[in-house]
Amino acid sequence: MSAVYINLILFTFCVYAILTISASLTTGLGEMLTMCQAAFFGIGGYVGVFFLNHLNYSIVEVALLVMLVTGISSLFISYASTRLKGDPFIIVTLSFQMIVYCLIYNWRTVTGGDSGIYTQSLKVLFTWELPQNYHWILALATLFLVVLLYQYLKRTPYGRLLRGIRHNDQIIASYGKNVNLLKAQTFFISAALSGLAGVLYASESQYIQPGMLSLDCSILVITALFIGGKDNWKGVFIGVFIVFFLRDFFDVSRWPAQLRPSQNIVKNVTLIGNIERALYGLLLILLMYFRPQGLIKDNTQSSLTRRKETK
Amino acid sequence: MLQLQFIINGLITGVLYSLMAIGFSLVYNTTKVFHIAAAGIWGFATYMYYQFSIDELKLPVFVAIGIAIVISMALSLIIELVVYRPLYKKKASTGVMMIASIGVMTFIDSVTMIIFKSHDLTPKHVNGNGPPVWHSIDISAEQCWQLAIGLLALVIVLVFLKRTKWGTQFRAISADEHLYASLGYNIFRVRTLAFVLSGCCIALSSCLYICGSQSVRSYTESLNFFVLALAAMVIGGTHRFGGCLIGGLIVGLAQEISKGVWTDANWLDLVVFGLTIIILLFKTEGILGHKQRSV
Repeated sequence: MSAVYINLILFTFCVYAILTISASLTTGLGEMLTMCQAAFFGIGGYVGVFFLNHLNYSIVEVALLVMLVTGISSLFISYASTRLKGDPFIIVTLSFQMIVYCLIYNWRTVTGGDSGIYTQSLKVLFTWELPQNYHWILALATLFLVVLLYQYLKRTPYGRLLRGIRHNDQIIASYGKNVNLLKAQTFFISAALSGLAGVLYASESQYIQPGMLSLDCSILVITALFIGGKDNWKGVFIGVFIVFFLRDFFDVSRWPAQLRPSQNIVKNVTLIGNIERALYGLLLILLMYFRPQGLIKDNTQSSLTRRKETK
Repeated sequence: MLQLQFIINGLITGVLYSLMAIGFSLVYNTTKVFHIAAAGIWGFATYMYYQFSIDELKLPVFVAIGIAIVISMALSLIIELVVYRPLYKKKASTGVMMIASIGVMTFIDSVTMIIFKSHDLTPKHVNGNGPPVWHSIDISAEQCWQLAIGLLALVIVLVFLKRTKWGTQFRAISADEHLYASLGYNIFRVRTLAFVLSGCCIALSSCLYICGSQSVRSYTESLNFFVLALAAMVIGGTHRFGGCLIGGLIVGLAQEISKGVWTDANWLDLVVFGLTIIILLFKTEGILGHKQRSV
């Protein structure tokens, strides 16, 4: 097993796990279903590539900058969430996603359109360089920090307020808490983490193109979230494994050259990929009927009140 | 005249978007389910039409369209009976139903890809002749059929919804479901009819679309069409069936005009979804507005 392949599979998992955890913050904890996670992922990727190519910063510095920029780009969604709830809000996030995709696809002078942008960066922290094959260390470390942040947010009063908003936000508002500010903070953090995932993706695959932020990807994030369990990190990991990891595992074009099978096996692999998609579609339907909380429930002490909810 | 060309093309595409929007809105308004699986039915219907008209059986076009519509109506009914109705009986929330719908769409699409392995579909055209020219406007024969059949179907559906007893029941259940049930009506019968009619509209929209185009079909194309039809429904008015017609025409016109004005890039999504966001933020009920009794 070559180092390239190990790097690839670990990185794929980490990037999509960070993306899905950021989705879990808004959709799982806060119950504001958003269809635009891939849009923030893409904004993070493209802005990150811009910083990496033109300003020649290291990956960590670029990641911090990108998190700020992507968080600011979430302000529109926060504004929409103050005025709309439920289905109209979902349609606004869907529209935002399509607008961002359209902008990045068609604004060829800035983003390169369909042909994408190439990037290369070995600088990880300030001037400390790391060979490309060991970037999975960076990805794992980032995933670890993100999961820590997520657990911390859940256990603090901030997490309790989020769960309160999920239950009934008028009660929280009647306690004097600023619900709109809370939602804005949640979207900011969620978008920032998605942007972080975007920068990591760009630095690993050294190439970004508009396909990474399509509506398809947003729907896959939602699928992964609900298959695994939308409000705990273990569920997110299971969901990401089933939806993203297995899909990329079967994506033959990304395999290293010595493992790539001959042409007549490639068609069967596409078939297996479609079968896998059909199976997790079926799994999603069955789960929604039998176990809407997802495969892994959150049974920790911090979620005690959840046991009474029938959803 | 170039402008008239855009308007005619826009009307024709707009009719197809309206049909798809009505198909979605029939389910969404009566059952409050965000029926994303409609995109799956759309894709499935194109492959059904292809299967019957070109691939194996080489039936005449209208027979193939008819068979594709019947199969799609059956598929829509199966989705309701197997997925949505059990969830409804369990009193699942609308979020859960939406996620189940996403699962159904993924499943239908991947099964379609498994059965019909090739992605290249070149559909059969209605007439083999060249495009006729009328007052220097280029309209092909397929587009004439698209316009004629699409408009006829739209008019029939809208008249059905407004004038007949069943249409009134659809509108009643979309206004207040519990009141409707407490008056003694059978909700499940209305749901069944809504899903069947929805499948019919979606399949008609899909078959007419593929009749007039030469391109291939793929998962993302059905999803893109569906999302534009969703925008059409929202722009026109989410809870009004007539809103789908107006919204669809607006989206169709926007598509043709943006193709004409910006020839190098396709800014259609920006225009249409920008309009959707503006409408949702400032007039959430859409252009037509919510029909309420004035007190």
